[in-house]
Amino acid sequence: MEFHPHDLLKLKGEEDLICDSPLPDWVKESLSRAPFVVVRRAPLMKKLVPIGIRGESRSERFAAFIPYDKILETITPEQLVEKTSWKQNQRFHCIDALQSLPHVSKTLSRFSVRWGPTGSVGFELASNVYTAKPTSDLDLVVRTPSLLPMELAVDLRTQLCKVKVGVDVQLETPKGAISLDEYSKGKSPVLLRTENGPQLVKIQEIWNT
Amino acid sequence: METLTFEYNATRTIHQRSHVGVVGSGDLEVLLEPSSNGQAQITIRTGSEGFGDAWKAVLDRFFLVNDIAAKVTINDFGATPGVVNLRLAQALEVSQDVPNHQK
Repeated sequence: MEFHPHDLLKLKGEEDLICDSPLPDWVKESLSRAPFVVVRRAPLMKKLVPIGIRGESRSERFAAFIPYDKILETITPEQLVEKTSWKQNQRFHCIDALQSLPHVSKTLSRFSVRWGPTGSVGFELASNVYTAKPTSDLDLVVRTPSLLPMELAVDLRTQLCKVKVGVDVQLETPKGAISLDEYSKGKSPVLLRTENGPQLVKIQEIWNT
Repeated sequence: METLTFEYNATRTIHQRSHVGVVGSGDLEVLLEPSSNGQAQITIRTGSEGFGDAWKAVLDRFFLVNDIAAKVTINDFGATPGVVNLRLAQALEVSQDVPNHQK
């Protein structure tokens, strides 16, 4: 089984989590509202997937692990796009970040990339539990298995700047994730998020093998 | 939104202003400006409240090693301590580059 950062995993409940410290109360409440966790960018341990639990505020984030065999369902960001999951969302008309998805989808289809929503919007689309806020940005992951030419990156950023909410794109490369905003400035170094932590890399080394 | 401030005594100077980082989840913007008052003065605006101790730990270590006189402005979007430390190092490196016209 393969898991990637941002994938959402459905589980039965808090009893299936493995962690070093006791679960805060908000984690239990959060999982009883929506039994979904997010795959973290960390090394896969033997049969354990590193995950994070999100609470209601930005300061509520908790790291733990879940054994493979306790995962009931895996939802990738791309699957949320394939299903055009926003069409079924009840809050489509009151949350700008949700409402901008059809436009963003049309824009990204011109770039022939695989992509999907992450963050609070992805979580809400996968779980059907109110998570995004009227002020939420739209976080996206865009798969870039091979070099994204700079002129395309600049074009993509320009197009996404026209969306009425802030769009925060992480480009997922074979080595880790970089920010589209930073990459499209064309300056070295850029911050690469790897499973062993963040590092600064030269722009020409991002896709080097 | 929470605003945190920190101050450290400093002996070294930086050459120029620098601005690194991005506005985006798990990241931060760092603006470093030269200062002549012999101090590093750091102001952090963050949407993740309640992490004052974690900020202090990262900044104590960074400004102990790099005792630069500077005004430091940070806009944080939930960056981890590892990301904060890298962005500070990156900002410092850019601020010590000699401007092109002086080369």
